[in-house]
Amino acid sequence: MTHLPTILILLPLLGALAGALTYLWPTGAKRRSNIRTLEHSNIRDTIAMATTTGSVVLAAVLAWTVFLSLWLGGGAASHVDWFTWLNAGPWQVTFGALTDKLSATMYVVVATVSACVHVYSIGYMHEDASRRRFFIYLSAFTFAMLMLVSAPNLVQMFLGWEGVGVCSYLLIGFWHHKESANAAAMKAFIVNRVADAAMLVGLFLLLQTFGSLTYGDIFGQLGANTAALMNAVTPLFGYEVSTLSLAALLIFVGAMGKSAQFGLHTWLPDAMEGPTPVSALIHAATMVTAGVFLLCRLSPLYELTPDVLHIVAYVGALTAIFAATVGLTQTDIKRVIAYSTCSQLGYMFFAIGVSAYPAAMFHLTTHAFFKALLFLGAGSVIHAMHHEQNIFRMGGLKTVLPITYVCMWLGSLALAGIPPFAGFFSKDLILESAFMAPGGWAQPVYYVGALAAMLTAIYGFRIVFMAFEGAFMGDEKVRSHAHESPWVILGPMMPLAAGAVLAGLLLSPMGTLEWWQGAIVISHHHDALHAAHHTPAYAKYAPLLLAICGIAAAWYLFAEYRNIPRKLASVLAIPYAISLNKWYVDELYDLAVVRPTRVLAGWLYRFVDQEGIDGLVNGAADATKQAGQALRQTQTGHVAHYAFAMVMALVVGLGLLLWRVMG
Amino acid sequence: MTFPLPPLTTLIFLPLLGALLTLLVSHPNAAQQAYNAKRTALFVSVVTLLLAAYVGWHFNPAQGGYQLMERKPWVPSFGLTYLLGVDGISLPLMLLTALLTPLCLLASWNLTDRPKYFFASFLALEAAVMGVFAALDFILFYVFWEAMLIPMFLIIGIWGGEKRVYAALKFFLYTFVGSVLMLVAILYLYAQAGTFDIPALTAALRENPALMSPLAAQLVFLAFFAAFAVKVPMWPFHTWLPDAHVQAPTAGSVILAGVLLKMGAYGFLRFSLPMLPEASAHFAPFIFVLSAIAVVYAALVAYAQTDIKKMIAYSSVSHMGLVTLALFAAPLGGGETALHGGLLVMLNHGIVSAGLFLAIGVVYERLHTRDLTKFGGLVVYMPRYAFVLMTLTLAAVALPGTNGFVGEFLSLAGSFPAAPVATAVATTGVIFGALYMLWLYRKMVFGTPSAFVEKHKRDLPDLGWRESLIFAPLIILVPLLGILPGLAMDMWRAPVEAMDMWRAPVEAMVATEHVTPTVIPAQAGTQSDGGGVHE
Repeated sequence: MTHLPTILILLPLLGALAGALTYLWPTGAKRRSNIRTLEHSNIRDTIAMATTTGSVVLAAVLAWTVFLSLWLGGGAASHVDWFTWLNAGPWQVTFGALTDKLSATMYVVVATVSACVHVYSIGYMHEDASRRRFFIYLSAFTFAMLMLVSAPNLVQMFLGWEGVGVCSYLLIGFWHHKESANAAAMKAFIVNRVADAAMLVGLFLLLQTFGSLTYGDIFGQLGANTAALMNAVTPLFGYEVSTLSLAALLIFVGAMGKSAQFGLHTWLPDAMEGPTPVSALIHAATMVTAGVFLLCRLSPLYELTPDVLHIVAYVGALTAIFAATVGLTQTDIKRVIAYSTCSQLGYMFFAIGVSAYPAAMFHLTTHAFFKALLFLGAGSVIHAMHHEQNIFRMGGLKTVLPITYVCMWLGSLALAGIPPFAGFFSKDLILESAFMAPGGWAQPVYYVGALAAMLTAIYGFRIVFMAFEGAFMGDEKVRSHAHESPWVILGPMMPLAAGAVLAGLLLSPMGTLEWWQGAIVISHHHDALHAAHHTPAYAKYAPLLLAICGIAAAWYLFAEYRNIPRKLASVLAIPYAISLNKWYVDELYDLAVVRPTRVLAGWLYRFVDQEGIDGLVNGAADATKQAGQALRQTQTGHVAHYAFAMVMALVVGLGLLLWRVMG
Repeated sequence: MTFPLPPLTTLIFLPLLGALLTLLVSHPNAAQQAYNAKRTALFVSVVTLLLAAYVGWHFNPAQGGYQLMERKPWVPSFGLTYLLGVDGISLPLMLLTALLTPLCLLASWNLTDRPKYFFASFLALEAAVMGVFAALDFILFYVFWEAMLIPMFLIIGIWGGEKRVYAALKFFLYTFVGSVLMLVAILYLYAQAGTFDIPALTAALRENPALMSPLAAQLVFLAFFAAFAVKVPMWPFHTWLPDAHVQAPTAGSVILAGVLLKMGAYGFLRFSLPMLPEASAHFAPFIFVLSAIAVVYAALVAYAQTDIKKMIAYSSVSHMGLVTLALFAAPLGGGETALHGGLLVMLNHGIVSAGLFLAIGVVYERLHTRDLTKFGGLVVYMPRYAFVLMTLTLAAVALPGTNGFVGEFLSLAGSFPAAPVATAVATTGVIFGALYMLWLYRKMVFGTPSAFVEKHKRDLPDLGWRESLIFAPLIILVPLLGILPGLAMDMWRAPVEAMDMWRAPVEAMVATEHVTPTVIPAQAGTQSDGGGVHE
């Protein structure tokens, strides 16, 4: 039993390695064309798909076993050490698996969605000649994500953190013949690196302060020396700032990158260049929630830095409303869902900001189900429509794709937070906690969140109605070929659909602090979560009402009177342009960061390196040469080396002289 | 089994003997002669590698100090001894040299211009480098240090690119000026302590700091600095490196980046820091600044390059900046963490940059260009190559799980307490480092094949057996040392722990001067409540 977590973490790695081994198998005759490979399903591809999918499905089964035994079986949290990775003298890093409610929840989320996505990909990537590579990356990603969540220390966490980042990079750029995919992949990696650099400095601060990066050591010291640690300060630009706050803030910046919070979100919409199953697994359900998980894992630290929690709350709220406004006007079905993810992650962060970590984790879990469902549903549409992603070239698809249609409805209802679907319970709890945060400081956050809830319903159902209702708006030839997806695609959507419907109801104990059995710590000074039970009725039901209004509005605008949105867009030209152009953040970065960096790099090379430093060097060399030519008049030989032998002799002589003088 | 010959002497003179043998190879048929010479040289380098492995096997990491020492009188009237020995700091660098040399020879297999002389020069270079790392007599060290210049000068100057003579002279003069100053410092130290014996000299200087006035120690430090900073190379003494790399043949670049740059860091670690702890501490802030600049500046300049070899050359400057930062941070609060980190970056950079230069050599041999703008879509024709380059790229951007990460993480984490600002600046190097490496990969390998690549697709076979064999050890070492860095760290654990000895006097001085402790112990009521919980 204690080794189950270890096994379930390593299974995807073994699957990926076994799949990778097939590359060592000599291919024999060169494959003549891709068409032939498709017809004769390659045995190596089959083996790789079997090992990866099989191992991840098995991991999912084990994950549920671990999770249920912890929850219902009364099992205790466990910690297994594997081996020492780094022994840097005074401190060590040991690989291992820390399995408490927090990591067990993530095991279930990660392994379940990953298993569904693996199976789904067998159908979705059927036509791709390099699907073997795809499956290996998917399994490697799953392994890295499990390493991240099971880590007993921040260094192993960082291994998983960067590991999921690189798998994301490889999968976004999976179709590497597409220039846009390569650009998006690189953008994702670099933006995340910016965040990671901040996080690294945060880790260094923690290491310096605690002498260890193991959670147990850090939390132990936080509990034992609370007052001393809270008073610790670090000099920064002439000011003294609290060390803990600085570290917490830097780590939050790292989390902002991975979880696409406003300012560091720009990579996520572009990441939709990757195949749709990737978007479902990595850019909706798991990797992007790593930041949320990390802050929950570090709740004992964040509880001591309330100023940072305020920042977290505001950043989360800003992201929630920003992404919701952008989601309203995008035309690419995947980008709308991507902005929706961004917005929902904002909710999770502002839950953390008001110390409602359990609510954040609860929403993380329900969101994983319904958002993965929405992405896979979108994938099913795209698959049926021969890679058409623009919702303005769809319409009336409900008769063609009835099962997908139902799934999209379920996912969108959960997203909009309509009871009894999953999102209702978790989103409701988040908003209530924000409303009831002690002192009422977070009430603006609540109002922003409630408004975003309405926008969520509008953009969520905009997709459903544009794609499935009304008249078809695209190429008639595409429609005549459109067909419901095969069961290998629809099948894996069923568990996720069940989750989107039931997860909120069944997992509602997750919304209480007690359920987490100490994996999450909340200071009694800011216990918004308990106070949330006493939310006044108007604050409790307002978001629901707004969401219902949103759905109605969406029906009116995008199913019934489709010409109204166009008129609205021309009337509200400026807000429309801002939303359509994603608040011009990319343009701003291009102008303020990307181009200056490029110019600076070129300038440093040309003017500092070549003309400046090397200019001096060559100048000195020329001067020496001229002096040498002058001296050469008296010499018979003129080989450069001889001159240097003499210089050397001179220096040796001087050295000896110095010796005699000083000695 | 005991080895019948003194192992370190053999390790130095076997390659030299091999160089002579290679020169003696003669055959009426020129092609046959070249082939025989190549085989001879390769054979000797492989035997050297086995011998190095033997030395590594018999090395006892638990035992501190130098091992396998050999002491013979050399020029007694001048106090010179032939003194050799290895410790955990020099051994990994010798192993690296022994590993890279056969790979370099294999990579030069298709050389047609006077191959006999090239292969002989290369073995002579290996001998000199081994000597540098094994020598424990200061003059002996100096002899090897200078001797190394000659074969390298020939390799760049004869077998290099279009501007080879300029590059070779620049390389030679730059390093030579630095090392001449070092010689003065060596002689001065001899004058003060009366010995060239490095362990004895270090002990003498440590036990009796009064041997030198602080000013004299600082001047000696600067003289050493001139030699080592050029060699590393530290910013702004680095401009010889891009030229040398671009003009050098592939094998020359590999050994230059893989081993020769490490000699500078080795010098700091072997001489400057333990012999001159106060002077080192005095100049450390200055070195932190130069190192942080090197990390960021060189990464940015690398990004500006269109010549792929130049790009990797600048990346070396960037990575070595991390080494100097960590080494000088070690006695000032960085401790064992920083020292482990610095040593790991040295070793790992030796593996990864060697691999990158080899990888660039592979495409240069096929397409005869280093112009990044001409490349694109190599993955279509060379998938195996794409895999190799991706592995090396990920190691270069220090992805956890690869060897690059452990060194980078420990260097930065270790340096942070000693130099928080410089370390924070250097940490942004992880952004720019990823920027140029991924840009390089994207332009070369991803995308659709460029017109140039398409035109030459017949010349683009994937990696063959010989090339796969070259990359195999490096590709295995990348994850191996990433997951089990202890394999390397345990080798130098004893000398790293012994660092306390040269840290002790420094700390006494530093405590009053440089370091402001970050964690101020709590004093009730005296601190602002900035980070306090809301009551």
